[in-house]
Amino acid sequence: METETIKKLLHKYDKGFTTLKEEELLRTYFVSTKTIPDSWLVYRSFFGYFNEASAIALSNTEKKWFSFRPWMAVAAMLAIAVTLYLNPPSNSSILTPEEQELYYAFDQFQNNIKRLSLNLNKGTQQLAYLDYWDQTTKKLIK
Amino acid sequence: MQLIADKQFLDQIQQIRDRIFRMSKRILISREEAEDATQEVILKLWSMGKEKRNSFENIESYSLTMAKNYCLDRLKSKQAKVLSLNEQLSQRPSHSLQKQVEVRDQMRWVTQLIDQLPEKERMIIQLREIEHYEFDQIAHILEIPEGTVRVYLSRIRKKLKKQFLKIQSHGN
Repeated sequence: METETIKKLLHKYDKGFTTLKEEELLRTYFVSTKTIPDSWLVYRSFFGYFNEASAIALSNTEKKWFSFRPWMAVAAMLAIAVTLYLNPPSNSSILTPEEQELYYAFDQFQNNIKRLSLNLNKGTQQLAYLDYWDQTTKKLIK
Repeated sequence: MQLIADKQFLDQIQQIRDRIFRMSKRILISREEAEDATQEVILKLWSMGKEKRNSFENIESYSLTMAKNYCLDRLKSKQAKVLSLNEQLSQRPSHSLQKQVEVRDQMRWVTQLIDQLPEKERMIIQLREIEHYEFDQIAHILEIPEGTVRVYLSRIRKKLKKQFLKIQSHGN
């Protein structure tokens, strides 16, 4: 009985006379019915396709807001080149008097520390010598 | 142009953006192009302002008309044509013995058959078979007479069926 109804509906469908409701009936039939006449397989393919196509959503593949494109590499290189051209890096950068004073103070401090550590090392050398002297004398006395 | 997103607009868009996307994809075929087109249409809707948007009788069909016009313009540019061609080439049907894969293959044939139709026919298929619009709505969206939609639809259905059976007899 059902096949008879479907047959009539398909006939109407081909002519473009079916209503949306009737088309929904057809869709449901073809998506859910396993065994159908061979001559209707073509409809199953189409309704199956329509059914899947209506589920395609933009959110399934949310557009990436940033995707790397080759031109971006070129743009980045260009940006760096322009920046370097406009402000070339230099050692004699302009410093305020306070900063200069700070640098001077730091230099002084560094020099002092260096000298101190040098003297300390000298001290340890002397101590090592003293130690050696001490041991030899002990041996001699024995 | 307002800069703060109002909730009403976001709700409206939420419901129709997938339809815009599917319509764009039907015309442009390339997914990436369709995503760009969808963004473009939403941006246009947004920038026209609340009053104008609310003045439309049916924002859904209006935005689909916008998508249609935008995508057809895009299609005219050479770039879009090359992209869609490439996509078609990568979707050639392949044969397999497994039943499940066979069904997949048939789906792909359907995709390919529809992709090869002229734009107007693709749009009618999309709006009727996939979005389930009434004939008067389709006529409104596509800006063509209702009678034309009916005639086209019947013609397309018959044509697709015929072509599908032809492929099937070749494949098996």
